[in-house]
Amino acid sequence: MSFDISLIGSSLPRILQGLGLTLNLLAVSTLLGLMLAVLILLMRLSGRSWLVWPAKAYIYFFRGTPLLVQLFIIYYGLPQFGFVRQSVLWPLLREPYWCSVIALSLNTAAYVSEILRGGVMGVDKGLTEAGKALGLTRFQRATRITAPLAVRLALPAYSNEIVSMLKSTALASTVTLMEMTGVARTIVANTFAPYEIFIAATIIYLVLVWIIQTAFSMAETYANRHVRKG
Amino acid sequence: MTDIIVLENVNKYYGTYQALRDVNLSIAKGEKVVVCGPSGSGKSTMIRCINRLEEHDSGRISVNGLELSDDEKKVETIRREVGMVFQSFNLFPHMTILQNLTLAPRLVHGKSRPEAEEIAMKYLTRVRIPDQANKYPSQLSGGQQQRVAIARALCMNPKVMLFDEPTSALDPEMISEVLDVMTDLAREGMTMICVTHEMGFARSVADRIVFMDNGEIIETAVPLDFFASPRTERAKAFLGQILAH
Amino acid sequence: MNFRVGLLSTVAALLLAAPVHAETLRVGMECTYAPFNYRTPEGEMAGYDVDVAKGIAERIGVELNYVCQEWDGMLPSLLANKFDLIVASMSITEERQQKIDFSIPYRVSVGRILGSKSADLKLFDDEGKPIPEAFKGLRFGVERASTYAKWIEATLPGAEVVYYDGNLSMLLDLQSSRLDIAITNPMKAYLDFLSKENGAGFEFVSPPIDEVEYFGPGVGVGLRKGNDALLERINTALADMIKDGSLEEYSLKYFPFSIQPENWKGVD
Ligand SMILES: Nc1ncnc2c1ncn2[C@@H]1O[C@H](COP(=O)(O)OP(=O)(O)OP(=O)(O)O)[C@@H](O)[C@H]1O
Ligand SMILES: [Mg+2]
Repeated sequence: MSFDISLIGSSLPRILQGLGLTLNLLAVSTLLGLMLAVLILLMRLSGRSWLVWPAKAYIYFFRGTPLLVQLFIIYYGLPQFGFVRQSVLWPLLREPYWCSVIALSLNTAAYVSEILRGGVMGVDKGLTEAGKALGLTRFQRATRITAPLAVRLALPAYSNEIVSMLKSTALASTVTLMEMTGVARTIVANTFAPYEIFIAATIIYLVLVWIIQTAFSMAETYANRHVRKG
Repeated sequence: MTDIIVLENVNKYYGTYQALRDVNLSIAKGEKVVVCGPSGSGKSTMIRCINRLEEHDSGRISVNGLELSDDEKKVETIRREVGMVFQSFNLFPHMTILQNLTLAPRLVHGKSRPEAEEIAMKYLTRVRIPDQANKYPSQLSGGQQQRVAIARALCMNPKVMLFDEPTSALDPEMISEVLDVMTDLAREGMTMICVTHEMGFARSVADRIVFMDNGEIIETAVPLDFFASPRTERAKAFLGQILAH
Repeated sequence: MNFRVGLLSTVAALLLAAPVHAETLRVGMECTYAPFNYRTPEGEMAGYDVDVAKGIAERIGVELNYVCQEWDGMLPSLLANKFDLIVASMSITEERQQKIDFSIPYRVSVGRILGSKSADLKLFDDEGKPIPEAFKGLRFGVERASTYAKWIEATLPGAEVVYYDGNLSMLLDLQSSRLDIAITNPMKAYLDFLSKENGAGFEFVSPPIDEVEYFGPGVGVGLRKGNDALLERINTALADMIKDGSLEEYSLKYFPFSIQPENWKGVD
């Protein structure tokens, strides 16, 4: 087995052609996932069992099954039904891009809603009571007190989720998308040099993870500026 | 004299545990009442029922003529008239002192920011820490934080102030700065209900002392009588313990 | 020089082979690769490869002994003299030709494009050349790094190509209309797809694409080097079978189209 270091360098620019799509998948599904997560969180916290149970079931399903399986169900499973192909959603579901975005968003929403719920649970009950005692409405307490503090508490776990989402975008290559891993796999298939090519891809992913982690640790420092140090 | 707070036959359960038993209490405008009693006797539960941080199960509670019920709007109206100070300060940690003080006046009373800040500075001066306005709560000492909490409640211009052991979480050297602020407030004529074991404060400020045990009001008396000759054995025992310190 | 040796040995072989007693040749194949070489439920050997082997045997006057061999050991076993011929759907490649000899092709290696019947596609001109403009706007599925992919990249650089790791997922996407067209091995396509309910709405929308530079010459009979006389006899037999239509006949036993090299006909 020969190992060609120069192949790592020469494949980097080609793999980087998939960077745009990787970041696009990450950004769009993170954003959609976050919105859905907030909705599920509100259902979960509503205290009404007809909202709580669907939210719980949702979280259980999406955290309990592999993302790859979810993606395949959406990509290969849904088109088996004629009515799906006749539906208004088909132009979306026909596209591997949207199938990936949907799977990634649905999956991350389950995790993020639990991360946020952890944040909400971590907010001192006394602070909500202080808000009540001041006459703030439920909505005002939620937006001015609970949410900002819950977000601060959730930031570290949320940054882990973003990193894991970045890695999950690689699964989009299994449904023909040419994001970074898709490009890398194509180069491998042509060159039969899996080590070099995947090492090159690894390097790019690690740099991205470093950027994400640095950005979040800066955000955490800023968000926690009110906390006394040392 | 009109009674601003009236509790009639109030009962409260936590599950099967009865925390309040047939509590009857009327408080007149401008009156200062100190509530004392052993731990677990229901003092916190009672005053938390007054601004509905706890819901009572039976009986009636009315504040300033409005009776408390499930009606959220009515509850919010009552809460605006009733200030509360907690044992653990409960300042919003992510806001500066000034933001802590201006939040409710702006959101609830619809005051503009400059208006709210002017009021805030007035009360910060009254509690003697105007220079801390732009710090975060975590940068203040416990005594300073509790004074901010009092100022925060006062910014809403309440008709009644509730205190739940406001000095219990403080280091001894900080207790007097908080009690001084409360004494000033009492002199200005605020209606106050204060759960505290600070008997010096009770003696000099209270119009009445309410002694609770086991969810019941056992004894109500003016401080002089209460300290000189408690009528019940339980109050005697309680005072014996407290004053032994 | 070589030519003369070859000629001499051919003559010698012909003289030896003829009347006296039948020679026996051992034929290596997987015996599990339907419909090319497999055992029927009754235990008989059958399939296109088997038919070809029988046809050769008949023409050169030998008896056959089948040796079932797993694919990975096929070439080494031939070299180790476990059998004399490989008739196992083995494609002729340069790499293999360094170790063994091959007969002329008895089956093609080609690609064909599948598309929906209802789309009414005309992608090739009358001479069988692809029309690049006709491919515009069509999503074209192909297996990653396959010979088909290399052909598309060289011939239709502007096509909207979607790469797959396997045939199955590609055919699923064709079915669900995520793809407009897909290129693959027509025999596989027929067996797995067109002959099944799933593929009912689809057809080949191209002639066989068989450019040797991408697809190689086809499938041949393999034998150890240095058996030039035998090779010559086999080639003659195969040429005869192509000419008299026997290969065509064998093809049509298994497929609704010909898979023999000299005479390609479409399903239609
Ligand atoms: N949320 C709750 N759930 C169940 N039981 C409770 C709850 N809050 C209070 N209790 C119980 O009700 C009783 C009265 O509690 P409360 O806090 O009113 O006492 P307290 O007089 O304020 O005591 P302390 O001096 O310790 O503050 C106690 O026995 C307590 O354990
Ligand atoms: Mg208490």
